[in-house]
Parts: sequence; C-alpha cells; structure tokens
Amino acid sequence: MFRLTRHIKEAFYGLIRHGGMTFSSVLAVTITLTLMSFFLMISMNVRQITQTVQGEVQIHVSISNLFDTESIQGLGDQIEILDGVSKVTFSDKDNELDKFIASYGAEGSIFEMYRGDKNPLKNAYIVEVEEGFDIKLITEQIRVFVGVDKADYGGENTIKLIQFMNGIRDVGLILVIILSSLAIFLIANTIKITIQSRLDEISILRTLGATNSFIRAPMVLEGLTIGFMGSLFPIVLTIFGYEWLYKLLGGFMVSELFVLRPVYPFVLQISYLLAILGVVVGLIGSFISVTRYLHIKR
Amino acid sequence: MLKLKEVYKTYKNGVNALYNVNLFIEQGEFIYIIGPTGSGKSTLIKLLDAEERPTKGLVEVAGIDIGKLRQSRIPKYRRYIGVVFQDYKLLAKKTVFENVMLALQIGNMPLLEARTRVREVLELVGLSDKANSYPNQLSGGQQQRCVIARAIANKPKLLIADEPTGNLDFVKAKEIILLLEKINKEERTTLLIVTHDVDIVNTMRKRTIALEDGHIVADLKEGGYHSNV
Repeated sequence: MFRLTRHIKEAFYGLIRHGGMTFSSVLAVTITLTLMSFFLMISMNVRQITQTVQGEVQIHVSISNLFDTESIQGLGDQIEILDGVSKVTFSDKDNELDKFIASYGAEGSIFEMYRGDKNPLKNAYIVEVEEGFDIKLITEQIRVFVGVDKADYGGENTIKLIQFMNGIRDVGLILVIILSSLAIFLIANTIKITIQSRLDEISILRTLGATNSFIRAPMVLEGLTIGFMGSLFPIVLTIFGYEWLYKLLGGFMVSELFVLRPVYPFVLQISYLLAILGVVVGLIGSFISVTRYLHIKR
Repeated sequence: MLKLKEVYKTYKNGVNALYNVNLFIEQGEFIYIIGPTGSGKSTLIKLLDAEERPTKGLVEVAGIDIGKLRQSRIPKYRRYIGVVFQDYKLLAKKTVFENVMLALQIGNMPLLEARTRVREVLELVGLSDKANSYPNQLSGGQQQRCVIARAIANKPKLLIADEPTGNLDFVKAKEIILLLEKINKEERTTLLIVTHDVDIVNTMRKRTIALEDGHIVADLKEGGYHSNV
C-alpha cells in the first residue's frame, strides 16, 4: 500500500515535471484516438447496414412438382449440408401463392382464383447463407441437384454492395489496428525521452536496491494516465458528434434501407472502447520503453 | 564478512583491472582502500556492488557469492550493502527526509517504522534540522551526510564509501570520517572507504589496503601509508 501510494505520487510528479512531454503525447494520443473513433463509427455502422442487407439476400429454390414429400425432405437435407448455408426453410406452393398475392398488395386479389389445384406455383426452399460466403457459388451448386427446377438469388448488385461494404469495414478495422500501433509508438517514444532525462534517478534507485518493477511502476502508470487523458477528448467528441450527426440525418444514411445504429448504447460502447484502447496503448508503450532500457544494465 | 579469493577482472575491451586479488575482512572492521587512478579501486567497488562479475575467483559478501548471484537477486542483495558516492547522487527534487525515505520504501518497510528510522539516522548524521531542505540548499558536507544517512537507513552489513571526502576540505573530510567511525561503532557496520586522500588515511589511522595496477601492494593493519600514491 505504502509502495502503491509512492508509485502513484511519483507518476503524478513525473507527469507534471515533464509537462511539455506529457502535453505532446496526450495530444498525439488524442489525434490518433479521434481518428480511430471516426473509423470505428463508420466500420460498425457499415457492419450493421451490411447485416441488414445481407439478411434480405436469399436463394429461392423451386422444387419440381414430380417430387414427393420424402424426396423434398431429402433435397432440403442436401442443401443444408452445403458449406456456407445457414438456414433452409420450406415453403409449400400455398405459402408461395400467399407471398405472391401479398407482393401485389391490394391488386393481388385477382390471383386468388389460382388457389387450390389450379395453383401453378411450385414448392420451394428459401436458403439463407452465412456472412462472407459466395452466394453465387452456392446457387450454382443447388441448381445441379436433382429435383431443382430453378434457383435464383437477390441479384448481382446486392452482392456487389455487400462486398463493397465488407471492404469498407475491413479497411476501417485495418486502420484502427494501424492507428493503435502508431499510438503505442508515440507513447513509447515519449516515455523513452523522459527516461533519458531520468537516467541518474534510475541509477540511484538501482544502487539502493530497487527492483525493475519498482523503477518501472511509476513510468508505466504515467504512460497509462497519458493514454487515458488522450482518450477524453475523443470520447466527448464521439458522444456529442454522433448524437448531432444522427439527429441531422434522421437516423438513416442515404436511404431508409441504411439504418444507422441508435445513439445509445452505441456511443457508450465506443467510449468504453476508446478509454480501454487509450489505457492499453499507454501501458504497452511505456512498458516497452522502460523494459528495453532496464534490460541493458545489471 | 568479505572474502576475495584469487579475483581477476578483465573487461570486454581487454582492460585488465584486477589481478589475483586476495582479501579477507572481518565483520565490524574499518578499512581504507587506497590507490591512484586506474589502480582498480572502482572495479573493486563494482564487484562488491554486484554491478560486475569477477572474470575469475571468488567474491563473497556476508556469505553471498557475487559471481553466482542471479540477476533477479541483485536488488535484494544491494539492500544489504550501502554505497556512498563522491558526487552524492541525491535526488534534487526530493527533500533530505524523502531521499533517505526512498531507501526504506525500496525495502518495503512499513510507513511508521520507516519514518522513525529516517529520524533516527538523520539524528545520527546531525541533519535533523535539515530534514525538509532540498539537496541544493545544503553544503557539500551536509549533502555527504545525507547520502550516508540514506546508505545506512536499511542497517546494511557493509558500507562502501567511494571517495567520500573527495569534494571536501580537510576539516569537513575529517568530520565525515569521524561520522563514519561513529556509524562503524554504533551500528556495527563494516566500513570500506575507497580514497586517494593520503592525509586522511595517515591522520585517522585504520587498516589500510593499497592497490596499484590491479594488485594489492600493501595491507597495513596498523594503518597509514607513505608511498607515493
């Protein structure tokens, strides 16, 4: 306890004593985390939109009228075991007609005459695919199964849109990783400079029998505090900025198909993430610097 | 207490600092190590402080073999010995009290006990009235007293003083040696004073060991040294 109080005190004095360095590294972390917050918000919204669009992409498999119930069941099993298939739902010809009539709205009633034996539609399977799997390839695989009359999916453009959005999301995540590394590098460098000005202090501590962890603790606490301080502005910006943008756009992006994530708890999740990232990069950055120096001397 | 047996030290750059050094010091002894620059005095301190390992031979302090001491055990070992430097090595941003307290914080002594001990050693070195002063507000002699207080705070078995009087005039230097003598008696600490101050060695006679070119050239039990060192 006595030691912990000492380490906290020393870290606090260190931050004040090297005020200029503290300020510049907090600023560096602030800029990095602000950019990170921006990419995180885009990535997570794109992910949400992609999931919505993806949920609507299904393969519609029409089954030959010559197939009996047992064969239909067999075909369903065959489809279900394909790689990338997440869900297979059977829709009989009556259900298919219901959907067909419903799709025409009020005017659909003219098709009511086809109910019963006159129903020209076929039994079908509605196949949903897992995220990231090639819907085109799965459709082609289904087409060659015996008993399949027709297999179609939601169209090329939708697939291209999903691929594009997945691309944006992946780029966003890569940028977040690059920015984290950059923040670690910046903190590590700052701490390295403060270590240079503390070499005398470190050598005195060594002479008095201080362990590496005793020497390291206040400096790591300093890095951690710098990281946390650097996350404060991006957090405030995230909360108020996203709320403002959400209200401005009315909760949608471009069209009503692209629903943005609601402000809460989204901004709080991003804020926690930024605070944790700040603390972790501060901790790692300072730990790397101090440890690198401490390993040199006996 | 301290045993050096056939000790050799050669640095990586090829410099031979110590040759076949044999030395035996009893607990509670007061010893001067004297010798010119380059005689191996600093290397001897580095070996005793575990900053360096001997190239060959045995260096044993209070039963601990320094050559075989594991890296992780060195900090704990250093708490058993105190080192006083010529250039003081005090933390400028800390008061006298805090500088001494640091040694006890490192040793993880409970707070109340540590405070009592700091007051006790400051009293012993005659710096009680300067407890709240910063090093730059002290004279050279007072700074050296502060370093001595810090070095003995943990009640070390061995106190090494590297040129403790180097920056002081004869009167102040004598005061410091008298203080070290007092510590030697009151705290029963083994004292090893490395110096090239022949005046002090001859005035306040103690067992004197002379080093030259890495060899022990004299071990005078009665003290004093009149060679051209």
